[in-house]
Amino acid sequence: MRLRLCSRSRPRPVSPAVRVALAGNPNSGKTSVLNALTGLRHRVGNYPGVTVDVREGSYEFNGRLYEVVDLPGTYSLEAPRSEDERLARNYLLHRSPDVVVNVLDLGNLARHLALTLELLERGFRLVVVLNFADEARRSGMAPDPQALSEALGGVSVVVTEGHRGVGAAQLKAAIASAAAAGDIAAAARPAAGAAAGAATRDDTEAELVRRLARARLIAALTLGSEATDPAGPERETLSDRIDRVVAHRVWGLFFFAAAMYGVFWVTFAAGEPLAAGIEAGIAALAAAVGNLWPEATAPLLRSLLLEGVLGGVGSVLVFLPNIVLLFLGVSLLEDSGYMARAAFLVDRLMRVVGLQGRSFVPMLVGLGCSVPGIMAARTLDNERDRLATMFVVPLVPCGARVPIFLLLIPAFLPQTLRAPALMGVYLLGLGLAAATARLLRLTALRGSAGVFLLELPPYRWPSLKVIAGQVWTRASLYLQKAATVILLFSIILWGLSTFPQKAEFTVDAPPAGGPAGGLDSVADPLTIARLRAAEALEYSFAGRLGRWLEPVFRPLGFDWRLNTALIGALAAKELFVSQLGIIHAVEAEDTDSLAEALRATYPPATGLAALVFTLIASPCVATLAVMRREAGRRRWAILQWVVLTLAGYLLAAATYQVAGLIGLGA
Amino acid sequence: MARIERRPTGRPSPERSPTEIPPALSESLEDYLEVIRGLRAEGRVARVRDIAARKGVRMPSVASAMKRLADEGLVDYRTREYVDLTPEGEQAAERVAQRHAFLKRFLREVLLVSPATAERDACALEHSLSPETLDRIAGFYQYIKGCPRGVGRDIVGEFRDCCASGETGPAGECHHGQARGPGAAVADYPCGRSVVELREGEGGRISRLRAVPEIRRRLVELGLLPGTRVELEGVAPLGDPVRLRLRGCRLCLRREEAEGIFVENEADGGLDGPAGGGAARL
Repeated sequence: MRLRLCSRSRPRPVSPAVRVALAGNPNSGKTSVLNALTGLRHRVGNYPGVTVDVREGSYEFNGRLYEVVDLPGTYSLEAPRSEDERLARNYLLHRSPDVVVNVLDLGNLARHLALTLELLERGFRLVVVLNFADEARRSGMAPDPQALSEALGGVSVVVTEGHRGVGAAQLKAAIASAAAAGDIAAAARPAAGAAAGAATRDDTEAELVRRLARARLIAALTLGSEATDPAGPERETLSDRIDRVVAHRVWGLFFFAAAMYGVFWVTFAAGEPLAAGIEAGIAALAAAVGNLWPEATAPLLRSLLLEGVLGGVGSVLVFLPNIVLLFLGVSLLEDSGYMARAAFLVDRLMRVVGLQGRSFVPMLVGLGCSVPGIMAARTLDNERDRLATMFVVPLVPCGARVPIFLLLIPAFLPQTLRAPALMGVYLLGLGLAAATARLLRLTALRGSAGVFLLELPPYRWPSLKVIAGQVWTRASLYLQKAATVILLFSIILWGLSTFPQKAEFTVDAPPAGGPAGGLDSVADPLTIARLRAAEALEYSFAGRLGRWLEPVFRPLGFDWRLNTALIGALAAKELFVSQLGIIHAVEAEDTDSLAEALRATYPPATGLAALVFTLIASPCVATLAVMRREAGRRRWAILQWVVLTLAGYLLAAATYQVAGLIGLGA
Repeated sequence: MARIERRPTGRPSPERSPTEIPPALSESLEDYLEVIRGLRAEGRVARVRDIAARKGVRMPSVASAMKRLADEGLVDYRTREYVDLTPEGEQAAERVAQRHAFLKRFLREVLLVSPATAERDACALEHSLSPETLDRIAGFYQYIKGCPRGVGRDIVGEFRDCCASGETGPAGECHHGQARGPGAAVADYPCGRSVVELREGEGGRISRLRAVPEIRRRLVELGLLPGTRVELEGVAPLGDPVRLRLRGCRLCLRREEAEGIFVENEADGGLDGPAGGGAARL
């Protein structure tokens, strides 16, 4: 594992950079400390094979460069339970940072100090940050940093105030002096590490208990015994009062529904105009370039630029508003502390399908679009649950599939059956997602059922800086990692439907086996253009592939035209409709005439099979690209594609055969 | 360790199911078998008088019991003076003795009961336990001896330390939980109440933690140490997961895990202030 240091390219001060790691329990406010130290100049570190976001930043202090890593929250360095904790542990133990800044929540000092003691025992040069001093003061605590420093053997202790960044200068000075403290501690480090490594599991538990007892004592010294006495009466906090209602077994569900609706609304309803704006912008750009570049000069290059590249860029950017808004919503929920409550409320419901509470948001977002849906699975801490969730998100019918449903259902079903059919499609998708998740957790992702030990952080006002940071890192991750793949595949698919080019068209007569819409005489130039486009597509690789795939898809009742449209749908699901329009030589925007053409060409059984197939099979390339990036391994994306396509194929074949038996066949 | 069988001591007769013995019969008759076997083992002839002396009963009682045993085909009592075990009787006595030895061993080695008490209680238990329970105890014995928490772990040794120290403090190290496994069902006796049995808003002090090591460790890390005060703050829809409150933090965990957290009632009652109304909310 090699750490990419983000400041390599920057002009560097004379002495080498000091490497600072931020460590602490979850919810101790490490990210706000990172913001206080480095401002918003941080980025996600590159850890091969690791999908956890690790933010890094740097700052200069007294002419020296300090590189700061914000490690994921961890309760201890022994027995890491999740990928987050493993990363934090491995970083600390194997990369030995120069200074470890241990962030503690004053409201939970006794427990957070256990990690501090462990870090001290391992010989790290420590600076302790007592965070959320404002909250502590409000609840009547008066921390004594001097007492804590003495109890910890002279470690410098800095008090900060959560999001406001108070104490940053003091903290920088403390880090500088800790870094300058010489290598005495470093010399002692390997020995400490070896001793700890030799300890058995049982010893470590005894150690843990001892450490916790000591931590309680030190916390009592710091805060005054009254505040931390476990026997003393407990004060009810504002968070408790909020939870009375918001995490209530009945009322909580209303808040949950409202919050989820809010996320969904922000992501899609608010994102829609932006996405439309981006599409319009790209179209305008294409038009402008098209005007500047006459059609006659290098027509292929022109087509590549206009349709391939710009189209690809468009399909990359079109997701961006959704992703930004989704993470805005999700970060708000997480940073305020609500997300943990939401996970608590629906955990039992989601466990029915073999997932856990936090899987709800990805599935919900997946209703809009699978790409942000898969990215939303980042909030899951259990790796197996996360993979299972990402795997089934494409089965949730996304918004791009709605035009397909709205084309196929009215085309083949009578009025009375249309609404139940649409409902049935959604239920089938969701049911399959549940079944697949269950199946995965029983087979490929078998394992401890995602131990659910969730700490509910106190409600806090979300920090704009933290949210902005999260949105920025996730959006840039999407652009860096997924965008290139989406762009590449868009261009490949453009090539497939463009080459080889047809030179001569049978303009005068409709092509053989062509549209059955009753186009006998071809006079109108628009119709000629449409017919030519259909011919060109048939002649292209995509059309040939469609023909070549005919025997494969015969059990589903598909002909080469449907196959070709399905190849187009690989780039984006909604392209299925427009490709189908081109190949049937009807105006793609005109759904009614396309539906009529379809009805004339295919029996209802084929329509139903196509409905099932587009629902289940072959997630679009954007989904696959994001899956590959988020799962960290290519094989998960491949497995997802293969499994879903096979399942879609089999179910669609079954649909076609059964529908044929009940008289919906040819 | 072999299964401890509790079979009927008589020949199965058609009108009686093979596993069913009238309890009054079985207890004393089994005892007689044991006594006869004991006497024979000492190299003495088992006479009615000797049996009566050893059992502390009158001779007519012995005589009538012998008649019944003879009816069952377990003893040879034709002579009216000397009693001998038939081969079937031999087997039955062997089983009884085995059971007795096992129970005594269990009491001595696992529960660390003193030798005299173990002897006395083994005698009492061997007749009154159902075959099922006996089986479970056998399984549990095997399980606990087989170091459920990993190689080299001596639960009984730790239990001994615990008993020696008398009481378990807040940081007591004797509250090790046991992994769930075959035969562990016997271990599921309550030690106070589980937190999931509390009413919402009710609290107590953790008396015992029972969980698989991985979860147990995390529970301890989160501060769920024996002696800590914990309150059931609420439950999610469908009653699962549960929300606990302990000093300084709120934890959610699934019912399955929370069931292993046992609490004892506090002498001083509930919380001060508004939390008292918590129970009334339900």
